[in-house]
Amino acid sequence: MGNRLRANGVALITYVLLAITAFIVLLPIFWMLSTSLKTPREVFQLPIEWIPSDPVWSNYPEAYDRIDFTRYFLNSMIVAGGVTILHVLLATMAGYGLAKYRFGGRQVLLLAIIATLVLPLEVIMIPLFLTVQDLGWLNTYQGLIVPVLADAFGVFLMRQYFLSLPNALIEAARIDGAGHVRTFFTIGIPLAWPAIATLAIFIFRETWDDFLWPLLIVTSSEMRTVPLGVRSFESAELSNFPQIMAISTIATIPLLILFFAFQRQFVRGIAMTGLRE
Amino acid sequence: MTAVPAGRRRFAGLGKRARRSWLGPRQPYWGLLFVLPILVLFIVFKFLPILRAGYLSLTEYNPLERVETFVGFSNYTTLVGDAAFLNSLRVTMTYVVGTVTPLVVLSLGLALLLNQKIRGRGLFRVLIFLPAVIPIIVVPILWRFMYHPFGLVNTGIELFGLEGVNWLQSKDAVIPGFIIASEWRFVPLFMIIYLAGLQSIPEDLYDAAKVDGASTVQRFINVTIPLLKPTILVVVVVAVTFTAKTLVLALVMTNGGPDNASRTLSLFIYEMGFRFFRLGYASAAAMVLLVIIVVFTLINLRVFRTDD
Repeated sequence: MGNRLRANGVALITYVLLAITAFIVLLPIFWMLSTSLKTPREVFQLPIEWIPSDPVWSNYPEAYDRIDFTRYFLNSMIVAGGVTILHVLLATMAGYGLAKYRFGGRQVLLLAIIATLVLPLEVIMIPLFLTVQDLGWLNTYQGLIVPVLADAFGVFLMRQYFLSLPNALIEAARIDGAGHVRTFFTIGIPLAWPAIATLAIFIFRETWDDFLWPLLIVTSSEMRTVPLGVRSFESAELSNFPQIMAISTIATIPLLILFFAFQRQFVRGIAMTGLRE
Repeated sequence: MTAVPAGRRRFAGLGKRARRSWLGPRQPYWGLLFVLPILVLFIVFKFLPILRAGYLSLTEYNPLERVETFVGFSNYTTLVGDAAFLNSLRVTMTYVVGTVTPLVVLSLGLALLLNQKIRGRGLFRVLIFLPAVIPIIVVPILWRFMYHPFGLVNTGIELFGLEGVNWLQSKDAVIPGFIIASEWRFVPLFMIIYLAGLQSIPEDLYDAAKVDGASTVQRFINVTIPLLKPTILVVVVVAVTFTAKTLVLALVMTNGGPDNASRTLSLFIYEMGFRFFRLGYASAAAMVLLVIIVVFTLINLRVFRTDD
């Protein structure tokens, strides 16, 4: 009995702590939503009207129309989609090669690639900008896509996953006379599907959300991605808080949908950054 | 069993399974062919740029004619005497230590709570995770709004009868302001890493400890913490790398102000490079940032590895 009581006590404390945390954590988000439905004059009125009695829904279409949001959204789709498809393919190939073949220098190669995990964009942004400028890729999709593909996390992730898979199926395919490339596409990729899905969601999110790289190489307004669009809106509107919050909410929705649609992959991708030691 | 040289055994993971791989010795060049496409990208967009950053840091760059003149280590000697640079180092250090310390503790605490077998924890996990879903560009925008003199943070403070703070206009409050916003954003992320670590601890270890009469606290100290060590290492390394490079927060929230109080090292690099076009000088500062991150990562690997 005593044990039971204690267990209940622990559960109660856990609930209370979690409820307080959730409350604090969600308050800014709730304020963002509620502000997005107010007039500028109502923003700082006290007491706070959490659910506006007269919601200004028009903030949303007005904010949306004030910038070329559709264009930014398409740009983001092209960039994030392109990076995801290409990176997943290249990283899966590399992971497969590193895990399933033994060739001279592969350890060095792997270490060199993994070492770039501690090399943030902030350190190489100047030479990388010059490289892309030399290639004539400023304000282009290839400029936004190609340099981003060289990311070590995916290579490492796929290598680990392939290492954990048995060779039997690959072996069988090879004995049946399938070539290396065919074996990779017909056996390797299907086997690695769970890891590929996780990586794809992870990379899509990272690329969609990236602000710094587009900021460096995009100057023309028609090449802006969503984060750049939000930023330019915010600098232009300064204290039109309702519409700034409206555009912020609009920018959040795609990521929210992605999160709820692929919750498992989404969370696993983050958990797996824990694997990269 | 063939004897494996001790040095090679350390490439764990590559262990026996890979060694036995039948594909291996026969057509090794195919392995390289699979790696080659991404390797080329790594060379062009990672390895060469880092070399170029090192070289640029030894030059003075003329942006009009796009030529660089070799100047030896003079950029570095200038850095050492540059008050703005030293200030940015100090700002970055304060921000990193101030953010990472509570982050490591808070996200572990939250992970422990969410690891309890209670009803509704799935819902709590989703709710508490939400700040990590908000776009990274929205975080500074939202928090600048939160820190408005009449914003929600001050409204909350005044509710307790205390005086509001002019967060982003005050030299002393701006970095604490950054830290709170960063905790809000990062705790949910690192909580997930901790949860993964906690769930990898076998249940029967706790049962065994229970049978031996260990209390909850003892189980935490003797089972959870030692087994969680690799996870803590990852959290610290990732958190330091995350925070040491921080640029977007400073750029969007305060642009380094007030009076340089939030001009982080990477903002210094960004402005030197992309506003004043002093690419050589900016690169020297970037090399300092790299050295800080690398040294710190190595120290951590050491500290957490030795007594394994």
